[in-house]
Amino acid sequence: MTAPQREITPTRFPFDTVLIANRGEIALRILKTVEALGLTGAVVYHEVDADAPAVRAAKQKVEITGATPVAAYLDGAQIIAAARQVGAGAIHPGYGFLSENAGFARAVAAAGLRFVGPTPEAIELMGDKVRARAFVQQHGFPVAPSVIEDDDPATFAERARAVGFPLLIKPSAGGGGKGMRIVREPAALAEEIVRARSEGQRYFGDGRLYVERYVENPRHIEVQVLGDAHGNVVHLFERECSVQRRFQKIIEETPSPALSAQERTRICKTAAGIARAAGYRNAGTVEFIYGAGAFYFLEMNTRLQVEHPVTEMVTGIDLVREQLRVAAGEPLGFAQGDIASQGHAIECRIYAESPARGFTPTTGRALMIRDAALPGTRLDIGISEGQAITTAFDPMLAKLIVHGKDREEARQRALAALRAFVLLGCETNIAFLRRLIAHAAFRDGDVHTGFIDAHPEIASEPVPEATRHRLLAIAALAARPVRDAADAMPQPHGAMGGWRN
Amino acid sequence: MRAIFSIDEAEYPVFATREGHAYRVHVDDRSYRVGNDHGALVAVDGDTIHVWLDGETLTLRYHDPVAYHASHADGAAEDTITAPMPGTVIAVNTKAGQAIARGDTLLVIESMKLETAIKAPRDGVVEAVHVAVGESFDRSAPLATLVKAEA
Repeated sequence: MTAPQREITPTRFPFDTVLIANRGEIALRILKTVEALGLTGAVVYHEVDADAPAVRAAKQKVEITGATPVAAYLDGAQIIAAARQVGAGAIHPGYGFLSENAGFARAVAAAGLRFVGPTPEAIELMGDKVRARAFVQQHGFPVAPSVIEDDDPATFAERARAVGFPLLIKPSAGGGGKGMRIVREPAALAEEIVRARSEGQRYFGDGRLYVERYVENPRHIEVQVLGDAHGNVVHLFERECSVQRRFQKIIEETPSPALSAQERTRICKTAAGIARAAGYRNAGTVEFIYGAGAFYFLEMNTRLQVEHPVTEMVTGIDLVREQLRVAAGEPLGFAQGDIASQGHAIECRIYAESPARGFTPTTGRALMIRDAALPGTRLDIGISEGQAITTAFDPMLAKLIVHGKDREEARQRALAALRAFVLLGCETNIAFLRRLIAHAAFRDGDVHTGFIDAHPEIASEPVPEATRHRLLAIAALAARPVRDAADAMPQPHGAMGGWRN
Repeated sequence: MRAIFSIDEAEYPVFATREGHAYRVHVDDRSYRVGNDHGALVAVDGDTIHVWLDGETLTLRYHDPVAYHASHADGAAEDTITAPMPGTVIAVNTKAGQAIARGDTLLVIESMKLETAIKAPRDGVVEAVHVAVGESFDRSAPLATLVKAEA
């Protein structure tokens, strides 16, 4: 972290061991803070992750099993049993998997353990997108025009049509962009409802939907909040996450280049107000859609976010440490006025995917990983050299986070870090991320959530022909038969055969 | 004999010659001197070669020249429908022997949390379906084969 680290009074934790119920980069990131606090970190892992960095680094580890690797990480009973086995007093769920599962949070408490997260009631309220919207609206905060299927299922399509196109269909139980579909043509509505319902049913076990007016060219701005069990709630400023593909974030930054100082104050205060109204404790994120000077509540994520490091970079506050302190029953170590944002931070998500092929996932093996460790740069990575990259999990492999004194310095550092980072053995989006950050629109802070779709050339741009040939020439010599054939050829003839380029 | 390297669908015949302590590699109508100071990083996994230089990465496949020329002697069949991306089969809507029309949905696959319908590229008859519901596959895996069209 580049902003000065905030020191707080040492905490006496009512637990010695924290079980980390996650995998990949976030398991390692949580483990680092757990150990920095003098606690013992334990991890659960499926056998496909046996070589993962967190599993290698943790003092204690428990193998979990399941019909699929994902199923193992979703098996709450098995994870609670693992916590008991290692004598853990708390479980940190990370993000995804069981992090927003109220039933799991209850089961953890029932087992006499602490869940490092909000109350089950807060998870339930915010997990039901329809209830959450109604709650926010009731408290006088802004939401987008919408129609809820449950209000009268028989007239859902008709009422949706009345909101006006374009529409966005969302699963009531959803999140993370899964099952969301934009509908621009009235004729396509019926079929898209069927598809969205089927996806909602499969991903969330809940086929209920709602529809809202889709704001064209919107920006995604979210606010980090922290609450404790004593009624204190603060915000840690905003993050802008408008660069997305298929509703999933690729680049996040703070501060947002879109907001005026006044708007920034207003959106951050709104987020803290929503969290306070919900009696929220632990780390959470209130997401907003922003367009044409107005912002609407989108949803609240009741967990640590993937992009939390940019907030850590500018505030100097370790969010995982705060989560553990709150879970230990401590009050927040600072008031709103103590929190300042310094400089600018950008995070780039490195995915195993092919931007040129519509961002489809890629597979392979991490044969070589090189981290240049440049100034102002943090790498949160979840794979080790030699580890297989499969489609069993989300394709995110690592996050590169940079900090600079201003946005331009941060942007230059992001470009340098992306140029220096090496991952061989599986196609990634690294070169694409560099083209994005170098793009004039991103440089000018002029992006929206449809930016990547509007500029398909950034994704499809091939490696320049000259570089391609150069790389091909170097790679060809790595093929034994090519080198052997060259070595076998008498030198004078070989020399004559080669003309200068 | 020139070795064949492919990058995605593009093929490049390549040969190398010695040039003192370095090599000269001939690609298409150009040649490049490759010494020990090229600054690139290379990782080899069987016939697949991954190379990185200054933030750009390429993956190449080396084709043994003899095997390559043998396999290209008989015309490649265009009757197999392959996976556009890695994923899992959600539904199989057809079976061997069934007559299908261009645009019919043969299978539904899931990848990246999205359902995608795999449609028939032409009218014809299904010869075989190579995957079952619940099965996972890599990119380019054969999903279904159509009976060869009459010439």
